[in-house]
Amino acid sequence: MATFMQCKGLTKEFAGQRVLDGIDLKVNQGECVVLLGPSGCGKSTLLNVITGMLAADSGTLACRGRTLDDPANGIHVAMRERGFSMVFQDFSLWPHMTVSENVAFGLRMQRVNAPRRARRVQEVLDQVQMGAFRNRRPDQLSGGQQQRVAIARALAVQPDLMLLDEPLSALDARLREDLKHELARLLRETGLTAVYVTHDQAEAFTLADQVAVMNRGRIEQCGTPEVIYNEPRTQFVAEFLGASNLMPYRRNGSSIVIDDGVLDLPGNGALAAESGQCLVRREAICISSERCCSGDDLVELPATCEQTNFLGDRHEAFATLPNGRLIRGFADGAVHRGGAVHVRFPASAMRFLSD
Amino acid sequence: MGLLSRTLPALLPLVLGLVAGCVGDDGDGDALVVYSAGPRPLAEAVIDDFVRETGVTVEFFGATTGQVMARLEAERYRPRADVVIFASEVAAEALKADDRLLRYPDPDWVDATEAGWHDPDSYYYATSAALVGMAAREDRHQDGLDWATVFDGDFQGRVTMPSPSRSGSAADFVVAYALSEDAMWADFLGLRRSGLDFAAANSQAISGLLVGTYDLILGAVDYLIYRQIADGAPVVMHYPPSGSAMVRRPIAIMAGTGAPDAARAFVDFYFTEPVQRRVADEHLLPARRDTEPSSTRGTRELPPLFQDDVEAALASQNRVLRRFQIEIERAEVVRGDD
Amino acid sequence: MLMVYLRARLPLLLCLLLLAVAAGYPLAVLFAQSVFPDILGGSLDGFGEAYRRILETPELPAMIRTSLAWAGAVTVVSWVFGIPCGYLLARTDLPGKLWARLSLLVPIMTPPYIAALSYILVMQEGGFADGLIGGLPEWLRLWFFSFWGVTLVMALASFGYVALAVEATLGSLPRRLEDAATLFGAGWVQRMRYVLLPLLLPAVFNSGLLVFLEALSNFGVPAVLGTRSNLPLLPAEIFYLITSWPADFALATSLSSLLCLFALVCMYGSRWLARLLGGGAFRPGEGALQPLGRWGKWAGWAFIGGLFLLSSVLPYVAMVLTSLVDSWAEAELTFTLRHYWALFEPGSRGLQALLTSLGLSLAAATICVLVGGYIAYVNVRSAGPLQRVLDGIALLPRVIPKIVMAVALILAWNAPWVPVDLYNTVWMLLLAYVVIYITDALNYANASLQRMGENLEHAASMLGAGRATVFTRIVLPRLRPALLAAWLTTFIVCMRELVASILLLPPGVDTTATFIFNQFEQGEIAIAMAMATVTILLSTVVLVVFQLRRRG
Repeated sequence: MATFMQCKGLTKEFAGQRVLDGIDLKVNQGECVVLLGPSGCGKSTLLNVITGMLAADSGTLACRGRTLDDPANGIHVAMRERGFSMVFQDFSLWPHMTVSENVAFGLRMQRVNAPRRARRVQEVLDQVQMGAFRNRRPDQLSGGQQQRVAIARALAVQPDLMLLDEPLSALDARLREDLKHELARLLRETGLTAVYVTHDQAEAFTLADQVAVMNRGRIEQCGTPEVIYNEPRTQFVAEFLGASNLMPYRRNGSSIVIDDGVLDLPGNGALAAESGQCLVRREAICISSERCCSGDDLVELPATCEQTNFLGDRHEAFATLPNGRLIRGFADGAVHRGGAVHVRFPASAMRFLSD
Repeated sequence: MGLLSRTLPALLPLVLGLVAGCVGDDGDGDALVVYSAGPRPLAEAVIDDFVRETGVTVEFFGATTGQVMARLEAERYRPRADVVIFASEVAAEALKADDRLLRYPDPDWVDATEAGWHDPDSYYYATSAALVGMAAREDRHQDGLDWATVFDGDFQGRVTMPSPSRSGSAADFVVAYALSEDAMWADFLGLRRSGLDFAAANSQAISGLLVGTYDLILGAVDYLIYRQIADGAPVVMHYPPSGSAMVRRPIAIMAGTGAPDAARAFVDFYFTEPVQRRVADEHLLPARRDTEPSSTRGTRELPPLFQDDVEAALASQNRVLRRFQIEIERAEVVRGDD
Repeated sequence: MLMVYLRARLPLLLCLLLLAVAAGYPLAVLFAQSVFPDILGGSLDGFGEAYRRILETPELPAMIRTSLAWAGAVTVVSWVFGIPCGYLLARTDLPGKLWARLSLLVPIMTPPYIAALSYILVMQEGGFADGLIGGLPEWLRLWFFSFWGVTLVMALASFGYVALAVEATLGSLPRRLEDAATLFGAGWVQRMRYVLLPLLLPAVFNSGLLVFLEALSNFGVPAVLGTRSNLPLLPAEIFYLITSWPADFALATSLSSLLCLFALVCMYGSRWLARLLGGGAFRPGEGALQPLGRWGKWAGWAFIGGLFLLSSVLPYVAMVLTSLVDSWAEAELTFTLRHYWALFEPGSRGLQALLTSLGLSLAAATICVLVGGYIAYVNVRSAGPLQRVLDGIALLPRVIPKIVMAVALILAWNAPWVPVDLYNTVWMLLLAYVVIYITDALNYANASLQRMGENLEHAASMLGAGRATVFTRIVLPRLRPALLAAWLTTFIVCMRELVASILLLPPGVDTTATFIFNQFEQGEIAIAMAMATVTILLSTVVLVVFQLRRRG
């Protein structure tokens, strides 16, 4: 696949604080890249650098072979000349314009003639199922409807690149769920290249072709959602995505000692670094009051149940190992607080992350 | 915040009640209520004398004729005044025409006064009179000066006049002049265009004359000028040969009075010799023929006067004054000429 | 059943009754009398006659047209002055914005009639302008004492509203709306045309209507400057119809009703426009400032400074100088404080006027704040048709021109059925101040209450506090800052209130404003200006003391 946009070593400082610290990112044609991270990680700043609202301090940004930002060579292409469009977190619809005027604005700026403009506006409004509302004003619409209009506005100009800045975070949970799938469908159908910023893992996994997990101004890991989830490269990525258990390990010759001897795994030493954290996802762990017929691959440890939480489809359980370490997993059968339980997981579910 | 605000909801009606109570105390039901235009010290002195002599309490309201009439108009449906004194006969005539005056037939002093000044129907009596003519700075005064001379432009840009909408005597003058001179509108418009200024009141016109902003006051009421002359100001009161306007100061009893006897007593008192003496001392022309005018004023002899017809004046007053205000007072001054 | 209803509704009914008696009743009498001139005398004769007379008197329709045109001109000039100021303050990197803002506040705080009097001192023949530049060109003097000169003085007194409204709106418009436009390819011109200006329109129109209304109903400038410029304007005409001979109450009430109608049209017009133009409330956005450059900064300051010079420096210098100069005759000016001593001499009319104003203003501000705070509280915490009626009536005094309110009060309290003699006492003026200015206090309290939320009160109620206790223990303390501000504003505006005072004061009693007005009219200009200086100093001192105490 062709590289559509590429960032190399982008940095940005605000008042001496490094908000972007050497960002390298590649976006392929027709792909949706999600920038995922906690608030303050720099993802919105990166987006603003891509839009041109902010100028990078150093590094380069190129799109389809054209350099947009290269401070070292004094290049900064103005926002209005980049041909991108954007969906804002707060919708930012112009309150004095009707829905169709809002959507038509970008086309008007491109001097598209009125009949074609009207046709295109109707087309995108239908795409987001807002065709019936075209004469309303933004303040007569619900939050979800406003965001649909904002999406239509961004789609209307058939942009090279569509940028979405936490577009769903101002909506309530139910709406978010609906719109998320719709956005995914729209991006797929239109084949647009998109950069999507969010702090919500579910959103990221639904929409992304590639997820770039960001932390403290850096991209920690970039890859497909499956890779990111299953093969986290850093402790931060592991903790940020899903519920996990982390236990320190060290290598002892060819075997690995986990949590100072809770568990010895002979023969696995080659796979891991000298020392680090051993990760086991919550869903890999089964906490049960009965011993299971042991299999080769299965690790089973005695523990005491601390607490169970009913999640609807199953129970989450917390249990303490004899050394005091708290493990979270799913309960298998009835477990009771204070009761003796067994913590069980396949050895293949363990991932070793270097420090 | 404490106690005061805790009782606030209860306090609200209380405050209003308090205000009402205080205000209620103000009105003294038995007092004779006198509204008087004209020199305030004179009115106050006369009332003091009256109170001392009769023991009747008097509530007094002193203002200009316009203010008194405005107040009477405001209080039309809730009248308070018992006796009114105006600086203009037309005002009294207006009340008479509206049936708002009480007749006082044949008082015993009437023969001692200028009978021709009073209302033939006995609704009001003139306590005194003043003449409205011109006042000039001594150094600019010419003998034989007449209205026409001024209109011809002899004092161009140096003439002022009390606004008839503020000064009752100036209003009477304008009305009298309009009734006797047909060319008035053209004359005054011409004068205004060449720079006639209007003063808000007599006092303002006079101070303009004293400091030398103006050389001449048109429609100056004479007793105020005599007062300046008595104080040694270098000004002259001048009565033009073709006529001056006489402004009489009527006293009348309001129809709705609750104390007609006290009211009549007050009217009677105004025509006693000592009070008329006080009137004369203000340089007004007293109504009693046996009271000598002030020495500054001189004799009781009258200069030529405009014909006067108070009913005609009343009938045309509104129209004349309104027209004067709009056509003359608001006309543009064409300054380019000088 | 009825008793239960009444008990529950008692505060609302009490407030309604209060406002109805204080404001609704006089206005009703006014309108009734304008239609039936003799209605107070118990007769329905002469239906509509006063209005017919307006039409039939040729100069009256012309005068009304002039008034509307003049108010319109004031609005346009205020826009021309105010919009650039607002833009400079909100969106550029103009240095010294604090000072620029202050320079806008000074003319707003200056009573327009004092500015007008000072301008007369500057522009009249032999005035300051003649003295300073040795003879003002005659065309300039003629221009000043004409429609446009009077417009200028009024616009200088009111452009600050426009500037502050524009600044506030620009400040609260999220930058994102412009960024979004840029992102979609809009340049500076397109951004202005399609985004910024349309978004600014509601503020521009609203502040314009405020200025229009203020100009249309202002009494001081038309009375002071209009009469000297042969410019008959509605409020001054109403005043003369009521105070000068021959008085014509029927005509005055019908003209007042018309003025009222214009005011109401303005208000509803502004609401309608606001709805039409959209424009909701925004969360304040962060804004990048437009760099001005060296010349831009110079030009910006020249504009703001020039306006400050015209609107504040010139009138204030004229005012203070006039009050201090002993004699203008000599070649060299000599200064004296004797006009001030004359003002403060025990028993003098000036001192009396000052004391009357102080007493009235203190009382009026206190009553306004207490009653207004309570009404606002009841209003915010009630619902239903009665509350909407209350809302409507409470709005009235804000919109109704003061002169109309004063005329209405005269009529209402001289009706034959009124049991107390309020007219021609100082109490009448106190009532008028409270009626006219209670909406200010109401608004302050309202705004603060709406932010407050009801839960605090519910919490107190659940712990057993009664209605009165909740109000005094929970609501009042929380309202304190708003009420203090309201008190201060009311006190200051009462200290300088002209039109109600001049119409309602019994003769022989003055307030500072009527004293200034009357002394000036009678040619005692130095004394008038000394009083003006003292009044403005006094309100400034009160203002500063309060500000300092609030900070400290």
